[in-house]
Order: sequence, then structure tokens, then C-alpha cells
Amino acid sequence: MRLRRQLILVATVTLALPWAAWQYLTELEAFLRQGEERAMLAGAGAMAGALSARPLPELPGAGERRLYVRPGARPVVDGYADEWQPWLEWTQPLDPDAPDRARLALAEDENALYLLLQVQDPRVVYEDPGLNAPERSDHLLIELADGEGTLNRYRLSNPAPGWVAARPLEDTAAEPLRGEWQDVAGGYSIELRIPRAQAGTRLGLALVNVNDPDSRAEVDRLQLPPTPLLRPSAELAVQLADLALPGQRVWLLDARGWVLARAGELGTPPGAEQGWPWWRHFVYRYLIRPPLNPPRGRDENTLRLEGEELRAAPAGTALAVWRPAGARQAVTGSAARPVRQEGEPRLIVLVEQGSEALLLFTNQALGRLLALTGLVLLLVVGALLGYASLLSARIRRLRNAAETALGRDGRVRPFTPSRQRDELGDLSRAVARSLERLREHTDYLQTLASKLSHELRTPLAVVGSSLDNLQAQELPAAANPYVARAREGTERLSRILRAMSEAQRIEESLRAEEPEPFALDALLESCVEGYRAVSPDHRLRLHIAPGDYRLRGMPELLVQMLDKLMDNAFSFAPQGAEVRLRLRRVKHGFELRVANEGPPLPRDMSDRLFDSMVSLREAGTDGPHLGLGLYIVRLVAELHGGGVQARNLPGERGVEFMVLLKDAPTASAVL
Amino acid sequence: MSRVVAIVEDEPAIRQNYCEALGRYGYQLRGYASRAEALAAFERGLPDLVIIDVGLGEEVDGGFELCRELRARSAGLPIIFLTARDSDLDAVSGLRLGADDYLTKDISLPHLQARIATLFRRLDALSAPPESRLQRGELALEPERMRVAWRDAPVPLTVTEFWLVHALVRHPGHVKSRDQLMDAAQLVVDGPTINSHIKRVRRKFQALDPEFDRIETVYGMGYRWRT
Repeated sequence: MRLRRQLILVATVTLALPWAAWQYLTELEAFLRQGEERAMLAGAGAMAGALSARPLPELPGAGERRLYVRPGARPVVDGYADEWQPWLEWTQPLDPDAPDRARLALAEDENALYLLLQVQDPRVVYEDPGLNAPERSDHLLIELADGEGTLNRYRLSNPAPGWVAARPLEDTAAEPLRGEWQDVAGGYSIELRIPRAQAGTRLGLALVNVNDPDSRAEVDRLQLPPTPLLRPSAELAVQLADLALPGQRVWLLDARGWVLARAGELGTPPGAEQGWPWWRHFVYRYLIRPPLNPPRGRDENTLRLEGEELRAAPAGTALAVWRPAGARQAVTGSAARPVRQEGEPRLIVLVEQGSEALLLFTNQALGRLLALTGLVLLLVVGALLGYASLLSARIRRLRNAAETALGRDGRVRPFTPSRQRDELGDLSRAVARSLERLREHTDYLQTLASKLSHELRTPLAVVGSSLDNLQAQELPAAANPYVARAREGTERLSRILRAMSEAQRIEESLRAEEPEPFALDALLESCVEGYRAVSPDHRLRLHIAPGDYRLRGMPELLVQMLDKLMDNAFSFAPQGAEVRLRLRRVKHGFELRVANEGPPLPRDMSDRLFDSMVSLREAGTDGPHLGLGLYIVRLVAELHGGGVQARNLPGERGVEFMVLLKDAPTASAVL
Repeated sequence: MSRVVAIVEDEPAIRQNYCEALGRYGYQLRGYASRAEALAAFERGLPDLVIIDVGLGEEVDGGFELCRELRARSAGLPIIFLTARDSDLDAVSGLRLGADDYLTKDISLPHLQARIATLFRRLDALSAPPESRLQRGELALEPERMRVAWRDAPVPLTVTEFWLVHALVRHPGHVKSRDQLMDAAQLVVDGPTINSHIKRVRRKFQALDPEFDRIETVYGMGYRWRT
């Protein structure tokens, strides 16, 4: 697992790929966007140039005030501003010094001009009809003029809210202007209709404020000198429509941003009608992050445009900005150029263009690029993960094999080294070589005993045969005991040597045996007969579970094994104690249990019990007990594909040996 | 005339001891330290009995080679193998060299003398007419000549193997324990070696008659001749 984690950490380096893609694409998008900006500015400039060559309508100067008149009015002259609602954003102050006191808006249709005036006045003093002094109340003075001079003046005052008439002051033959005066929260509101014939081209207003109904003295007066009226031009709209390109919306504005003409529609790219899924916008907005100005709603009701690009235009600074637009989460670019006449910026051309094409491209491109790099990343991580798993599996296998190759008894089991040519294979082969060396050394040590004994036999034969010859001579009687003792010594030595090499001999002779078919229960029964005869001191019980006990094995070896087990049981069980044998079939083999009452096994001996040269008996005069009995038991059991285990009986009453034998053992059992 | 016994043994002390001990029994002893020395002497004349140490000097197969060459010269010459290791018995048995006996160096000299005497007696008995003869079914046993025949075909057994078969067939049907068999063959070996001997005997009979199964193993007790 640790190797895998390490490699995954390394794999995270490939995260550089999507990051690089992101950086690249951001730069690409900026480049493309700047291209579009230049195109927009060029287009606006071309339009401005085209327009400046044509005659332009009379426009107020840059420093002059103007009053904007909205065309297409459908008024309801009731004093309320309900039907003015969409355009109330663009009311103009009557007096720029006190912009919140009174605000007005103008609209017109074919027949008349309409004025809406909203006044903030906490104390409205109406005209007192009895006084016959309309000027001693809150009243409005209206001046209509044209280029030459004043056409007429009117005064508008009211005794009460409701229908109102503005009476002409100079040309008393003229018709009064009719309208409505309504009380509103915080003040009052006047809606007035001015027929075209009387309107003129300039409008002036004076709002007189009276607060005290008793003194009726004029407190102050808000003045609007006659100010030219500014109207959108249908003619200019036509010219503009000629110039606008498909997908563009073009505005013609006066120097202060009032809309004189509009043409064109922002286009919709195919496929964006349905609206895009949120993650596409995520890609564009948050990953690429184009610089966006705050959004401004510009639609057909907009009377005046504002913006950074507009402020920059009259000075001639070319600036294009981008704004998020609409529910489609698109962005719109907007660029403005001034239309100059006689070197003066008279009008401003504002070109708006949706950048859905750009958006589409970048979104798709970045989306695809990110997907591709993400896929590559996954592939790399997956491949590395797989390879790490492979490597760690190999290493784990090597570890397991190395661990099991060297058993607890110091014996070396076969260890197949890897055949691969990489470092792991080298390691595996090095381990195999070490184990081989260890095995050779262990073999050497194990055969040392038998080799030594073989070497010692020859001098022993010399001593023995010399003693034989000595005994055949005529010796003085005093010499006899010495000869006898010498002979005894050589016989003991001979027994020791035989025991030392017995382990080796037994392994060889076991290996030489060949399996034959026989019945295990018959064998056991006949053996037990013999044991009963041999050991009357103990009670022998045999129990064979029903089953089929035919197998292929080496019956003589099994008899030997049984002899050793019984020998053990008899010598450790006290007189009169019980020795019990049980045979039964288990999965894939047979289980033989030999249990005897008696002293229990010491705890620390249990795993070395079945090694050669380990004995629990004390050395006595009946010969050295070099502990081969249980070693033989284990060898025979293993030769039959099984094994042997020893455990104490519950309550430490005695010891039980369990031998497992398999069906049809193969000759390749571990020896 | 006393018989000539040759001993081929590379360890001088053992060779001297055997020569002197056997000399006391009246034989003429010739001792040789190596195969080359022995062969050179045998060129001039064969002895009456040869005792060969299996592990002769440096050559592992020296003793076997010598035995083969002697057999090529004389089919009837008694040959006894002496070995220091029991495992050699197994190796030698596979070679079917035709030696008359295999003994370990542990054997006491009286026992060795008894074997030699038996071999000589058999040699003499071959020329004399047969006297006592045991017949058990298809088995014919001549104790003096120490010959065994199965369905009138002679079975080439060594002295040891003859004594084992003799012990079994003397009382057919009776189980002979390993100890009893060891006594009869005058051998001091452990149980597994007796097993190997019996196995070799079986194989020799089976070479003549593949269906041979008269020697029955009684597990835990011993062997018996099936009637």
C-alpha cells in the first residue's frame, strides 16, 4: 500500500497538464477577446466616420443642458406616474442644484408634448380662490420658446388636487394647457399636456414654493431656464440601421448618453437558445475569468446609456468593455466612438456585440481540453496504480516466499526465484542463492553427525577386533576385567555412533520405500494384538470409526511409526493406566489418535518435540535416548502427505498425539 | 590342506587383526591393502574365499569392481562383503553382484568365523549327494548345500537370506518375529534392515515367478510362510 501511495503522489505531477491547458486557454481567450474588441472599436469608428460625413440634426452644445423627450407616448393624463413607470429611471432634475426637490420627464406623441413633474414638498399650499392671487401659493411657471424667443408663458396653480389648467400669461388668447395635479406621498405630481402647435423647441420652468398658508410668502424658487428639447431621430435610426452589422446592436447617443437612435439586435448563436448547463458557464466565468464590468440592463426602454466606455469616448480614448448579459449568461461587448463634426465630438456611436461565439469556442475548447487532460491524468494515475499494485504484489510474494522458505526447524524449503530481469528479480535470485547456501550448510551440519560416525567406525573396528584377538590370547586372570570393561566401552561407543547416524539412515531408507495398497484398519487391528501381548501393564483400548480405510501407502513404515508412538505411550503411562487408540476418516484422509494418561508435555517443548535428537527422557543406562522416535513418527506421517501434532489432554491428565494421513500420497513429500 | 582366505582391506590395523584372528582358526591368510595389489596376486592364483571391504581406499566403487572381476574369473568363489555403513547394503543389493554375503564391520570375530565355516561347508556339500531336503509345496530347500529352488528353478540367495527363508519355512504358517529371524540369521541389525532383507528375498523369488506371494507380512508381529 505504501508503494502505491508513493506512486500516486508522483502521479499528481501530471496535474500540471490540466493546469497548463488552463493557462494556455486563458491566454488564448484574452487574445481572441482583444481581437473582438478591436473589431468592435473599428466597426464603431467606421460608423462614426460614416455618420460624421452626413448632416446631423441640430444638437445642444456639450456644455448645455437638454431635456430629453421620449417618443411614442401613450399618456393617461391623470397626474399619476403609473404609465411613466418604465422610464422613471431617467427623470431629470428641474434644478441641478436641488436635484431631489423636483424631477421632470417629457414624452410626446404626434399631437402633443407631455410633461410629468414630481415635486417633493412637505407643505403644499394650494391657491386660495378667494384671494385671487394665484402667485401666493405653490405654483409652476412654464415658458415655451423656440430658437428665436419666447412663445408664451403660463402659470399653473391649483386650489385643490385634480384637474388643472395652466393659464397663459402673455398671449392670453392662447389656449390654456390642461393637466392634472395630484397629491402624492411627500409632495405632489403634475401631469400636463402641451399641444404641438404651442410647444416650441425649448422649455423653461420655475417652481415657486410657498410653505406658510397664512403669510403665503415665497420661500424659494427652482429655476429651469429654457432648455432645448432633445428627441430621438427616426432618420438617424434608418441611417444607423444601414450601418449596423448582423448580430450587433448600435446606439447613437448624444454627448451625454441620451439615446438618439438604436438599430440592430444582439444575435443568438445556435445552440445557446436552450440555455447552457451550469458547468459551461463555470468554465468560462470562473476558470477563464475575463474582466467583466458590472452588468447594465440596456433594452428598448433605455433612454440614456452610461458606462466606462461612454465616458472615455468623447475624449477619444478607445475602450471596449465586457459585461455579463441576460439570462443566457452570455457576455456582451460594448465599444463607443465619438462622431466628430468640426473637431467636436457631437454624438457617440456605441456598438454592442454578443460574444457568444467567443464564449462558445472557449467553453468548448477548454471543456474538451480539460476533459482530455483529465482523461490522460486518469489513465496515468490508473496505469501507475496498476503498476504499483503489480510491484507491491511481487514484493509481497517475494517476502512471503522468503519467509516460508526457511522453516522454524531451520530446514529450507524449495524457493523458486523470479526469472524477470529487473531489480526485483535480482533480489529474488539473491535471496534464493542465500537460501541455497544456508540449505547446503544445514545439510552439511545435519550430515556431520553421520559422517563423523562413519569416520569413527574404522578406529572402533580396530579396537574391537584388537580386543577380540586379545581375548583369544592367554591372559592372566587379572587382565580379564580390564578387557571386559574395554569391550563394554567400545560397545557403548558403537551404539552411540549408530544412534547418531540413524537419523540419516532412516531418511534414506524411508525414501527408498514404495507405496502399495493396503487397509489401514486391518493393519491397526493386527498391530494392537501384538501390543496387548507385549504390555500387560497397561489397558489398551482401540476404537475404529466406520469407514473405508483403503489407501496407498507404506504399511511397514506405518507399523514402525505406530511402534514408536506406542513405545512412547507405554513408557510415559504409569502402571495400570489406559492407552487409547482412535482411528477415523476425515476430509481427504485419516486421523489416528494415540492418547495416554500420564504426565503432560512441558509447554516450551511442543514445537521441537518432533525434531531429531530431542528427548524428554533422561539418559539412563539402557542406552542413550537420542530422541529419534518422534522424529520417525513425523517423517512417516509427512511421507504420507500428512503430519503429527501433540497436545495435552484437558485437565493435564495426559498426552494425545494426532497423526493425519492423506489418501494416495505422492513420493514428493518433504523429506 | 588349510584353506586360503584373502582379505582386501585398506585399514592396516583391521587387516592385521582379522588376519591374525582368522589365522588362529587354521586358515591361511593373505592380506591386501588395495584392489590393484589384490588383482595382481589373484593373477597368479585364486584363493578359496575372499573378504572385501566395500569402501576400499579412495575409490567408492573399488570393492564392487573387484567383486565383478572375481566373478568373471570364477562363478563359484565365495565372496563376503564387509561394510562400515549399513546403507551400503541397500546399494549393493541393487547391483546383484553375486556376492555370497554382506556383513557389517560390527560383527564379532566368532560370528565371522561361523560364516566362513558355513560357506566352506556349502562348497563341500555341493559335490556330495543331497541328504536332507525340505519340501514345502513348490519350494525345495537343501540345508547342507544351502540351496533353495522354486518350481525346480534355483533361487540365488546369500547366506543371510538363506537362513531367513529357512527359519520361515521350517514351520510354515507360524509367524516369526523379527528378533527370531535375526537370531536365525545370526545378524545384529534393526527392524528395518530385516524388512529390506525380506524384500530382497521376495524380489528374487518374483524374478522367477511374478505371482510369488508366499512370504506374508503380519503387521506388528513379523513374517510367515503362507501355506
